[in-house]
Amino acid sequence: MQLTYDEDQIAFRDEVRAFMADKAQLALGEDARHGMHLTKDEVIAWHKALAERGWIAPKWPVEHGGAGWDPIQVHIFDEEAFAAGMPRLPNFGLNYVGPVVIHFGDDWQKERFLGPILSGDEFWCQGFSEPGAGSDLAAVGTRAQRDGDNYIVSGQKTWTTQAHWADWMFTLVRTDREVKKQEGISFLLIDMKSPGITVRPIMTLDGEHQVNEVFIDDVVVPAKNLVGEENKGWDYAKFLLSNERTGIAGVGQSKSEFARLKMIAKTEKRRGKPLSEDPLFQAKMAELELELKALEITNLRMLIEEKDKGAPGPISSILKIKGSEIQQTLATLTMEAAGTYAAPFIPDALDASWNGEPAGPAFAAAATPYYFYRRKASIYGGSNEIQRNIIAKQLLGL
Amino acid sequence: MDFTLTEEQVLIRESLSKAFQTDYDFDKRRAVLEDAATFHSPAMWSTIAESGFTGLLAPEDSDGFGGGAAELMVVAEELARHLSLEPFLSSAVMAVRLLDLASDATERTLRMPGLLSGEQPGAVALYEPGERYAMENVATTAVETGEGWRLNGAKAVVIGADAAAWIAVSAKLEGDDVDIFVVETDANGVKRNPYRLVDGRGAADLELKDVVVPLSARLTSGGDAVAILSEVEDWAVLTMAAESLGAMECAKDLTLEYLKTRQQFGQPIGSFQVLQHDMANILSEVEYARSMVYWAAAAMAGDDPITRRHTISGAKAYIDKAARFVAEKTVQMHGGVGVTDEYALSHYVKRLTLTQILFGDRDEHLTRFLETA
Repeated sequence: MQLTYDEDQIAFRDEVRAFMADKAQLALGEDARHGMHLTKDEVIAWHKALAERGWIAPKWPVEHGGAGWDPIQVHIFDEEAFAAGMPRLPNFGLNYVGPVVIHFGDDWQKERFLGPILSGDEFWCQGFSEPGAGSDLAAVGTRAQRDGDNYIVSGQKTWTTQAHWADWMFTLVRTDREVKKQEGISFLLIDMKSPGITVRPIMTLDGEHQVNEVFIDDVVVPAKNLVGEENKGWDYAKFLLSNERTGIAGVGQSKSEFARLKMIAKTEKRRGKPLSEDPLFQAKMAELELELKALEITNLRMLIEEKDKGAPGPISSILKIKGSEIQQTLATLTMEAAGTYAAPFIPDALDASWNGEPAGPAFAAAATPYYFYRRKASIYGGSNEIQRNIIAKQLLGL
Repeated sequence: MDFTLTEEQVLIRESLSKAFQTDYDFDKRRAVLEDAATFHSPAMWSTIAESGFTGLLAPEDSDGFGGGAAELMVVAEELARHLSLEPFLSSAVMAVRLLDLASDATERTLRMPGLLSGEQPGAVALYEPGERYAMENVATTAVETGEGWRLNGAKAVVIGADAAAWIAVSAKLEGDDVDIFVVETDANGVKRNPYRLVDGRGAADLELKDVVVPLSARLTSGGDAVAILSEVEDWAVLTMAAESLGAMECAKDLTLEYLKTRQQFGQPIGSFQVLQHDMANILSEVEYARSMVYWAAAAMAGDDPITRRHTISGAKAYIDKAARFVAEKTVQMHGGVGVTDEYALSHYVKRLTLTQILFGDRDEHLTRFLETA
């Protein structure tokens, strides 16, 4: 029973820490760093710095330009990056489609797509969800019809995060309607500049534009953009989704947000006393801190299991549930800490680059929009109800 | 970073489990529960002692095993799985740790063999009536008499006092220093009011009326008594945490089995999504509780008492919440059979209820967690 890092891990952490200190000019300001919406330029600056150091793709194998880190190293890096206030990079290229191409793609696809993901020259979005395929993802109805060397694709995707930034979209499309729904799905890469692609923003309750609808009207997609075999897309999607769930615990980010909340609680007052001395608020903080500690240790247990077995198991579902609940509670308590100044609604304050006139303390401007923003944490990546289904079926055999 | 058990720890668990499987199955244990005079099984207790478990936490130079928090965690989890009623917590954890921390070599040499053989079990009184979990509030007094000390006072819910040959008690001296004294349970003026606890284990309230003990019975001097008792309490809390985990695991397994076999509406009740989600939540909470037990065990090895207390209290506060959730939920999911005495679940539920109460409840430990931040 050893709950501390070994010597190599500490040396690695120090190396990462030194790098973060060296790149401190890329860190976001104290009030901008916590889940705020960044500009594409801010994201790219951090991306390039990591690419230069060879750390942009921590989990990729070294021969494909990755860092080849084990899960514990990835965790250490994430924690340090959040503590240093570095922007969070989108997962779609690096952590989602990249590993799928590495595992299931052909040589041309690896040559064509991996380089620009590593360099940050091409951005990706995820074309999975559809109006009729949410939790029931295998119900995707977007059709891809083979036509010579091409597929002709028609349908609609939705909740597509950063589709308005993306150069490419990886999609699940239906290539066979006669078989069981999981067996007629293919994994297709679509150029967002293709004629027939229309991106329409969806404004969310936090006043932000992050997600989109993507309309696909008779779009011609070269057949060489099909990953792996036709009708095997569901297998690749499952591989991708299990990668999505690891890291979804968000331990590093939540620890950093908790540290910030503690600072806020020292200055915000209730009945003349700081919240850090208010019995009700203190109790909520203590319970949250313990939830986070339980998540952190459990996450480490599972990372070690992943390191030993080579893949995350379905147990990662329990991390997703608790991790998202903690993210939501953090946002809730931060909103509560703002008191009356949680009331003014200034959605632009969620942009890291916002420099408008705040109402009340600086953190308060984004507190309520952020609370709204966090509602989606228990919905995306397989809603928490779907995660409980996974636990019941795969871990409990029910 | 390593969460696996050593080969030795696995061996400890297996040999303990084996001893209980043969001599202490559910029905045999029920017979022990019905014994009105002795609250545990003397036969099982000597088996535990002969196998060396009573010396688990005793240093090697006292002929102990020299084990630490990780070994205790393994043993306590296993004892809870078998619903042990034996005075392991009071004697092999609390009394052993107290002798090791507090007494000089003479007293240790005198009393440790009796603890290890199981023939002279000890117990430690931590709290007084009306003071809840505040060990520092000591009304019991000790007055020097020339040839010894005269003790007067009362102690509340002393775990294992029913079976103990001696009990360590704190008492206030002139000048308000607190020290720890050993009291033989058969000494004049010692009155015990023994009872079973919620889970069937024995305890007693203790009354001391002009009890005279020799000079050598004073185990501490210089005011470190409360610090020593705090550390003993931390060991007891870790034991409760690991017992809670073992009982939660068993309650979880029984419930999962029941979901798969119990038929209603023509199908196993485990096919209903509402119960599947409850079961998923139970699994999840047990895993998180396990992590918190590991956290607590690792903290016992640390040097700084404040950090140790902070961690122990944080872990207890979390685990108590999980224990209450698992206990209440598993009864509900069983329906009527969950509230019967003849089915094992109710006994795990009682264990889980007791672990929430002993050595500081959730509110107490949340408060301590904040105080030591």
